[in-house]
Amino acid sequence: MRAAERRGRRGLAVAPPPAGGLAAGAPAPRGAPQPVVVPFSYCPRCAAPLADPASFVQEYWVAVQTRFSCWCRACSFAFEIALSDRVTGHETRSQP
Amino acid sequence: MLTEKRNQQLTRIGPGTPMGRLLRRYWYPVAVTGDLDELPVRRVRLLGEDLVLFRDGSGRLGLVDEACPHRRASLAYGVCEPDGLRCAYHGWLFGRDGRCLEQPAEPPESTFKDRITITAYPVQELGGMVWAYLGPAPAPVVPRYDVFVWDGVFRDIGHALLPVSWMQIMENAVDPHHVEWLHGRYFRSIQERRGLPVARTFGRRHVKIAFDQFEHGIIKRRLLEGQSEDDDDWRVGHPLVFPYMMRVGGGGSDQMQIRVPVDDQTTWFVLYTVHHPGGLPVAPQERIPAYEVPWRDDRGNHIVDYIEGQDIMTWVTQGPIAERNKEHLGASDAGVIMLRRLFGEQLARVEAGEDPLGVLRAEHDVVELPCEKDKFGAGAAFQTEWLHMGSHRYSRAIRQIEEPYARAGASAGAGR
Repeated sequence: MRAAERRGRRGLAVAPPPAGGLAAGAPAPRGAPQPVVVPFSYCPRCAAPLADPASFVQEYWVAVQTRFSCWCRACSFAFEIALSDRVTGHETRSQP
Repeated sequence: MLTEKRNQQLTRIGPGTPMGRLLRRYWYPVAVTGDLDELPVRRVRLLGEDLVLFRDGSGRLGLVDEACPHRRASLAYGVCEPDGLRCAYHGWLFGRDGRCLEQPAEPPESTFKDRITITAYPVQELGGMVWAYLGPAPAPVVPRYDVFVWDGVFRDIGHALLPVSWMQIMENAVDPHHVEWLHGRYFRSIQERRGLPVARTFGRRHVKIAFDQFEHGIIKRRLLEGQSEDDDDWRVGHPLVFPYMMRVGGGGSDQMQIRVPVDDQTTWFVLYTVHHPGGLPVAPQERIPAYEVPWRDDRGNHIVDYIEGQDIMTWVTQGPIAERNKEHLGASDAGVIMLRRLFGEQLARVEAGEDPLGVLRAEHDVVELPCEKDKFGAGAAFQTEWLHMGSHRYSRAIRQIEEPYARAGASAGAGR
């Protein structure tokens, strides 16, 4: 639930929650596998669906950040997606 | 985490599965050659297929389906004839190419045998092992990796049949940090409790790790505390040889760790070691000694007071097939992620009709693999601990192995 909320706050597409699952507020049974929610669906380079089982999407974590290591079978593009709370633009000039 | 579906794709290797199609593009060792001297017919299971390996009366090797097509009795109990393997039940005879050559109980004029064949696969000998290929024709050549063909070395083979997916063992090959903890901290706790000497060279802290894809797989690098990037562990590293081996070495020995995918939940784990301490001359071996690596004690507990026993404990306790949909990978698991992605890429290559990574078509003398010589920057100290705190202690040839190291003395670290 918290993970889905966080992703929603960031304005990213949220995959449909499993019926009767976490989104309903019911805690997962102890020991039950947590569903892997991938908050994006398409390759950022060629737009092929990453749900293709021959493509690769691996979730992992660095400190508080959730990342996905991906490889698109359609265009062979290897990339990483990091979920973040803020996007900081470049600085246009130096501080005085 | 990995979805359950992708985990299944990664670990199902039977006929007709995507991973099964990929893995069938490679040659696999299925027996130690010397074992056929004692009994020339052996049951073999590889990639989920039940087969029989035999040496016929003319000395030629064959690999065929285990079940006789007549009444399905096992050919593993067959009789080796000059031209092939005869079923023990009714005497049907099969050649190495799978053709049925005789059906002795049928009428002499019968042509029934001409319409009967069993699946037969190519086999070859290399480095004291028998290798099999279960993939589509034409078969690639058997890669002549250095340790299998070097002259002037002493060879020794340890092996164990493990109730675990080969993929878990391969992921361990790109997980450098486990050495510091499993073979360092954990091992130290066991030895201290027993009042035994502690392994010093395995517990050094990792400063950074790196992985590079190359033509035979992935090169793994580590920089340990106190080392510089000029040290062997970082500058050279050692390779995961795609898709099922890892090459290691140091202190006068080199080793190929082989993880043969027997089926989805079983792996034949082989430690193929060559010893050449100080470059001293080694007498030619008539036969490579082989030993079984024990990993459970009488009470069924894991034996964890040696290096490979600790590895086996972690692989097996992950479950027959690790539930990757429950795991939590971190930044230190970069190698594991890279390997999984590499398998995905190679699956696509096979589906596109291309050869996957590491398949060799051209004849060659030797494939020299990059591998550090000064392991952990420890010189000969590494070898001392490797010999006495690793699986070598179970080798039937341990005295023969130790002797040249003792002769080489301080020069043992020089190696090949």
